[in-house]
Amino acid sequence: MLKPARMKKISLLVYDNDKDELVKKLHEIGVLELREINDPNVEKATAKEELRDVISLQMSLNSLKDILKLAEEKKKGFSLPKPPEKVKVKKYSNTRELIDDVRKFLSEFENDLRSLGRKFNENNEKISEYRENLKLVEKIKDLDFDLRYLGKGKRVFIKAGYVDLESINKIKKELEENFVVFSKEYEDEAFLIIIGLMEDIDKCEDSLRKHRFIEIRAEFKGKPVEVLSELKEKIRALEKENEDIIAKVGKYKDKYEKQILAFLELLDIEKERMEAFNLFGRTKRTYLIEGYVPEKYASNVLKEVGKFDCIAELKDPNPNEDIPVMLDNPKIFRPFEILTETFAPPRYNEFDPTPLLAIGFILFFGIMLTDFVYGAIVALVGYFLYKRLGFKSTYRDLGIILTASGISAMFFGAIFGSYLGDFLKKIGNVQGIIDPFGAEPVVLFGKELVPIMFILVMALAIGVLHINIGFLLGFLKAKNGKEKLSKAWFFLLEIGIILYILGVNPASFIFLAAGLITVFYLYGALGIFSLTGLLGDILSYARLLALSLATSGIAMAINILVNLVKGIPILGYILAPIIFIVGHLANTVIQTLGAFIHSLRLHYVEFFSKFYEGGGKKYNPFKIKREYTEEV
Amino acid sequence: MVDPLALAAIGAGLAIGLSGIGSGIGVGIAGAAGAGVISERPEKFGTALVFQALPQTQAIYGLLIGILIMLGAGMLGGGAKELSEPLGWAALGAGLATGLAGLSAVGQGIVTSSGIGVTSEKPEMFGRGMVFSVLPETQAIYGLLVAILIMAGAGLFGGVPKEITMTMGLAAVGAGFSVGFAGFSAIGQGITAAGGVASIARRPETMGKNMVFSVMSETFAIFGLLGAVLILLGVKMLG
Repeated sequence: MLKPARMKKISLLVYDNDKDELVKKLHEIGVLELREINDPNVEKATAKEELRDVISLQMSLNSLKDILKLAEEKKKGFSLPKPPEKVKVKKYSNTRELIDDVRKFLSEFENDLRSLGRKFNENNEKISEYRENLKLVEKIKDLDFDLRYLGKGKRVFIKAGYVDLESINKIKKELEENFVVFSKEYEDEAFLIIIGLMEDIDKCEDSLRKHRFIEIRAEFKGKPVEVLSELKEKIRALEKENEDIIAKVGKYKDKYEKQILAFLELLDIEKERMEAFNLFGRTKRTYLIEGYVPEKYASNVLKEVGKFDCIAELKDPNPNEDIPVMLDNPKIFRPFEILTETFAPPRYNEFDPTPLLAIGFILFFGIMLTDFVYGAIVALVGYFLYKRLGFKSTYRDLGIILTASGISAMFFGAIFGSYLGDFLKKIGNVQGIIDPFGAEPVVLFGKELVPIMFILVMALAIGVLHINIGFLLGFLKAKNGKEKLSKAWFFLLEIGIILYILGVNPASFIFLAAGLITVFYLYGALGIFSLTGLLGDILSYARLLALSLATSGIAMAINILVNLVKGIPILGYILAPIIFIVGHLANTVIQTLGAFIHSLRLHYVEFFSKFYEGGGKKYNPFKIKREYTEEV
Repeated sequence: MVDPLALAAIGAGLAIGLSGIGSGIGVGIAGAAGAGVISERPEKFGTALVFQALPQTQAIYGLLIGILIMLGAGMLGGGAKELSEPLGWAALGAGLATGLAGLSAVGQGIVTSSGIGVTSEKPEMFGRGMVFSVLPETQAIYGLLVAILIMAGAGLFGGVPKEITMTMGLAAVGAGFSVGFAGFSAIGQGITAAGGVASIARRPETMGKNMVFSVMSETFAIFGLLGAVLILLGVKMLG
């Protein structure tokens, strides 16, 4: 539990005739992380030729899946994701059989669906073209001019189009010498009709280009009004047609989508299995497979591969290799592994800090959120995530983390007597054990402290304890004398300070001096930063108090505000409950976010820096992943 | 003689107002990054919003101390208390500590904007971006801490206010300056941490080293906090 799972290196030499079955078995057991064989003396194996077919079928299926997306309903508001329905599939004995099945499946509907998709896209292109034209003609809809005359004849041409308002006068001046120009000015641009002789057309076009003339090029028949209504009619028809297409695609979707996803998954499994061969070595008649397996699964793997024509060898991995890291924690700590991995998975020979992180995180979160009701809300949200979205491992883990943390916050809320801040205190005189804002002093070591100072002292004490654990782990992990010293100076100083406080005086100075000398011996003048850094680390735990005060303080502010508003006649009765509910909910969200990240920060920055490095390679077994299918 | 209630009011105003500047600018910087990101990836709205919420904390601390000062001075809920002038100065010091240190939100805004940008490309960076984004909040927490120490020392948390000397009251203002101005180190820290987030996105294994870079600026905040605590100890305001 203290370190990642121990691994064994496994080598398998399998006969040609049994290789496919063996690899399939390994894939099913799913505990082996394969490693590429990189020995220049060993010939490399290659994937089977069917791989190409598998990939091309995947591409076909994916493009069909994209077409089916046309029929996807637009999401209305927020809806919870649902676990995918599993399709029951038969057990395929070889890849060929699966490929044939997929081909047969595709032949049922592929062409029809594709032509629907193509038609839909064509229609869309046309629609956007018509829309462009619509824009051009819309402006001149009052013009009494038949657009069919636009174009070039044998001797005469007629052009129409738009230019900027600024250019209109210049353009007219340039053109009016040789051409007949009609113009009409609109709000933002001007419309022009130009008539001229074909022999002058180049001159006309040069001049028009200079002024960024936007020409009406499409072939229209009739007056703008008629063209307009015709275009609108066409667009409407195409849109109607597309709606029909979507409805048809929807039917395909209902009928085939699940099966498409299922086949995609099966092909993926098949592909992964075939590509694994690229990692193997081979001789004429045998294949060589290498990988890592967690120690606890090793005997099972040996037993299973024993049924095949193969030789297996198990040995301890060379510590210099990049051994994969599988976190191996008891079930209750497992959800917290994601928090460790967010920083970095441990190295193979390092402590796995997850259990400590889990305990510390729950504790810190509770102290920082410190409200019974807020904690209950967080716990309920966590439980909801776990129950409803638990099919996704991230949600399940997060749900468990939030539930545990929320309960911790309820506990500390009860201690501090915080139920929606001072709400219950005011209404029902519900008191906790300590009132952070109260004046009743708490006695600690014969000294009277205001509650708030008491909590501060407690927060810093927790910090000192936490940092002690960190340094201790660092000390245990250290390999040589110098590394040990880099952790030991803290303990020397600490013992010195404790002795000084207890009044054991000459001894205390010896320890303090020893600690300081170690620091400056290790780091030179920069050692001063180690000391301020340590001080900063301890003071940083003051955030336990700060965030807890922020939660109950803001809650109190909301309650005060509600009380003030309540005094307003009539309107008060509407506003007060709104402020009460929205305010407390917003406070819950913000403070939960704060408590969550600051708990993490205390671990990542203050705690991990004492002993934890991280940077191991995560264990990624060769394993069948099924989301949409179920073998029968 | 300056009216103690007026001094306390100024203190509350500084706490809320100054930290409001900090959070306003910080949230603004983060929001701009969010706006940029959603123009390319509208689905990142939620993530960006979570990041954007981080630099708000400083304004919350400011509001908290502001309200606590008002409650302590009897401006809110219940009749006005008899305050001595030094208590007024102490309240002013508490307000300065939280308010000035609240400007750390500017630094936090800079990191969160980097976090928003990086997370839009690499969602797995969310956790790390978050952790780096809360680094420059330490300064605000130190400010809050000193404010609480001052108010506890002056007996401004409910009950009967303590008798403190004029020296103590003015020393509290000095302590507020010490931790408050040193809190500006958060802006430097924010810039470093923003670089750190970008660096980790490319090389996740540099997390630890980037953390060391980013925490360096905190040294000065610790000096400020140390200064404030020494001042308060020197005038016997603690314990």
